[in-house]
Amino acid sequence: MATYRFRQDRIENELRAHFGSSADLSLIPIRLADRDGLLCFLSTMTNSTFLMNNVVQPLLQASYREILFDSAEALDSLRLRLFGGLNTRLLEDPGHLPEWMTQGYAGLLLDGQDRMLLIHVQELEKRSIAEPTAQNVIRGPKEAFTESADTNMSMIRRRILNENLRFEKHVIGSKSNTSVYLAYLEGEADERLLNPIREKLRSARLTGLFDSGGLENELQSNRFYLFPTTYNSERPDSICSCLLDKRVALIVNGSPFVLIIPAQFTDFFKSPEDQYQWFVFGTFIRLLRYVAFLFSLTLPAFYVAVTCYHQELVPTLLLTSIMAQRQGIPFPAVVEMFLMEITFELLREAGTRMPRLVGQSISIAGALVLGEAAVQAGIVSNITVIIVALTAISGYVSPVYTFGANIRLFRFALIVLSSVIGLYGVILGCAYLLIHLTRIETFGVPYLSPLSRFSGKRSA
Amino acid sequence: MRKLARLVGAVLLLGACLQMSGCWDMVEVSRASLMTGLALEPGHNGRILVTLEVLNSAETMSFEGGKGGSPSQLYSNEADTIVEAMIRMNEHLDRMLIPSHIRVIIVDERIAREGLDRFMDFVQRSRYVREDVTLLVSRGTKASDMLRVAYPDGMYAGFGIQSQVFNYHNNWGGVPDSFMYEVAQSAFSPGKELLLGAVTLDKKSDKEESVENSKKLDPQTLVRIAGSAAFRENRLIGFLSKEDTRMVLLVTNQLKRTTVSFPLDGQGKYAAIRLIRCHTSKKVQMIEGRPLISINVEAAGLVASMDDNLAIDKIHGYEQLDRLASEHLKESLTATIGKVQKQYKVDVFGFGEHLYRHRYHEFMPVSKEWNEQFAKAKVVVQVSVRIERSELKSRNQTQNKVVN
Repeated sequence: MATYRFRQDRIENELRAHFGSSADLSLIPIRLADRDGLLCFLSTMTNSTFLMNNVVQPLLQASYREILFDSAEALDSLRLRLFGGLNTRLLEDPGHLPEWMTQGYAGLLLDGQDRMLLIHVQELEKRSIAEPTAQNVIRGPKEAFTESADTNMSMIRRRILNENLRFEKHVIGSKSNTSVYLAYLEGEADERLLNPIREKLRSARLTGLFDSGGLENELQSNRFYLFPTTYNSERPDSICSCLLDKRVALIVNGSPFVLIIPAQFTDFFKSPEDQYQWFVFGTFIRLLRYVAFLFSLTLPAFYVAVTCYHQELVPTLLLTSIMAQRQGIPFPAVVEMFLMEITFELLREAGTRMPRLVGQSISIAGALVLGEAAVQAGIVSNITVIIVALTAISGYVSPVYTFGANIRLFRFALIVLSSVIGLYGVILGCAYLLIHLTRIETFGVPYLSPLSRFSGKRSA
Repeated sequence: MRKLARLVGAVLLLGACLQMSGCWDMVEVSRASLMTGLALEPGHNGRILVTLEVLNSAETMSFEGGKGGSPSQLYSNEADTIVEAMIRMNEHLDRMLIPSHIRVIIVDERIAREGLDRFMDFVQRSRYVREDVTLLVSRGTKASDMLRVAYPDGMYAGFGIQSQVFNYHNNWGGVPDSFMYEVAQSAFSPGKELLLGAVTLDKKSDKEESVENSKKLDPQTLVRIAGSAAFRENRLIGFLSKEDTRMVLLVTNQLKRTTVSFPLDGQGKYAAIRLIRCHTSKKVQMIEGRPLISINVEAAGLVASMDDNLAIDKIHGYEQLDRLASEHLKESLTATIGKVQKQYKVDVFGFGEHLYRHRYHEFMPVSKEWNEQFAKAKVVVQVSVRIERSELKSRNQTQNKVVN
């Protein structure tokens, strides 16, 4: 009998060697109809109520006369009679046991059996579905994705009742083994799009992946692109409409943000809410977002250029007002602008990171001390504060936060350019940006694609 | 390696750019001043005396730390050319000048009589002077004195005069809009002479000008619009009164709105008609070596006031008013044209231009001496005023007594 692989003491020792002194390793000796057995699982991957109800109770209440424990099919019949509703499988090789246990399986071992029964008992605590926090709408579905990929997939499946919806599982992260699900509609999504993505996922060299943001960098075709080439959303409705639009979603376990590939420039100006409103208003709001984008990109640079180099462009009364305000300001316009922009960035960063309890103090310090007092003290002029505030507000109009964040960096470059060569610099910077935009391509789709198609072949 | 080289190159290039920051033509607005008015007068020994109105911007904003000081200050300099006088202004002035926001250029009558060409070249050549600057001629007073008038509420003379001209032109039409580009326009259009706005000073006392003036209930000094200045080949030859100017504008279709008062019955009773749309069609032709000018004025208006109680709730009442207004307008128009023909002998109406555009072959033989031709031209005037409605009431209120 010494040859058979599933001996209780041997398995126990092996597991202890594998998991070390990890506190969540549960090894429970049991007796089934006068036979020794072992139930092993990780207590962190399940909860005790679930285990009691679904595994232990059936084992206790079963009548063992019907099960022939001596036969080789004992585990099979056990599985059929007692755990019919659960996801179970038979394990032949004991070496894979720890791997299965980390995925939420419990192992049931019976002396004298050549196999082992694996029962899926994963039942985890998870955050319940809540309202979106980063992408709010007034009118529209109020639920957002959670950190659990299963929940997220279910939220998508609930919206698209279509048998062609696929969730393809990939595992990424050499150490974290995070599950990533590639979601698409079979027949809708193009294979020419899917294959390169699968390839990218396979070749991704990450040790750990804890948010879709990490994958986003991996999927960016060029690290120096100024614009994000993947769209992300925490809203199931927005993801679903993208799936119907022949695109592909990536759901990362542990991240409430689902990625959409490919993303185009215009996606970052769309909010799902636009579709739920009267089209005229939706169009108006969308146009407003483009205006806000231009504002947040060029307004400070434009101000610096115009006040330093092109006074003739400003209406006389406005210029007199600007001059009156700038009287006695010790810094040149560009230094003043940088001062306020950096101050705002600091405030924003502090506002995002600080504990919620001290929130009040930041707003007081920011609004009153830095805004009012700086003007009163004659360090910065009112008009600069207005420009910075308008720019800041415009930066948050984009429904996708990361998009606005990237623009911010380029804004600083534009301010430097405008302070060096005036409006000429602003135009140069914008021209560069436009050229850059036309050059970006994600998985074969030009970034500006609905707006411009330079390649006749590809658009056909 | 190539990538690194490119990166280093880019950084060096950007660094060089930063070194040149502002070397181009940067002007820090907090250390500069706007130039808002320019007055030109004859100086000593044939030089030009240039007076600049320089803005003290903080004082123009009464809500932003204006302390009731003067909103602008005047600086004068004399030189052989305007440019030199302006550039050398820092002999007196502490700030950099921004010339692009100049509002008015006032030319002294004495310089205008010698010809505008001497300074027009500079303002037209400079890319900093806008073409829609108001260009005026000062009549009977020194041009720089116009800029010495204080306007209330931080308004400076340059802007004040411009808005005065603008509003007068739009509401009554006694002054041409007088933009600088008209000088070039009249130079390039044969058969039309230049007409610019004229301003003068109403001075009630000889005291020094100050900001206090604008705070008085009864300002001691005011800029008054004095009609227009007529030019021949860019030399001032005389002034037209405000009433005559209005008629000229009516003929050239530049009249926006105006009000005409005319006697109703010769017994001191008047009616006022507000003309809201005027259009003049012209026909000019050469008949037996003499120009024949037909003018047809059509105007629509409404009754603004009426001393007598014409029955304008009936059609015949309106017809009577139409006739009286048309006759009055026709008389004034004929008188004005006659006066310009006799007194100045210059075609400020642009009849020659009309002939040039419509009957080129008739105009070309007389193009050199068109002004003389104009002086002896036969003019036929037709006016038809159509009164569309009365303002709020149709009857005079005093006549509307309760009848038992």
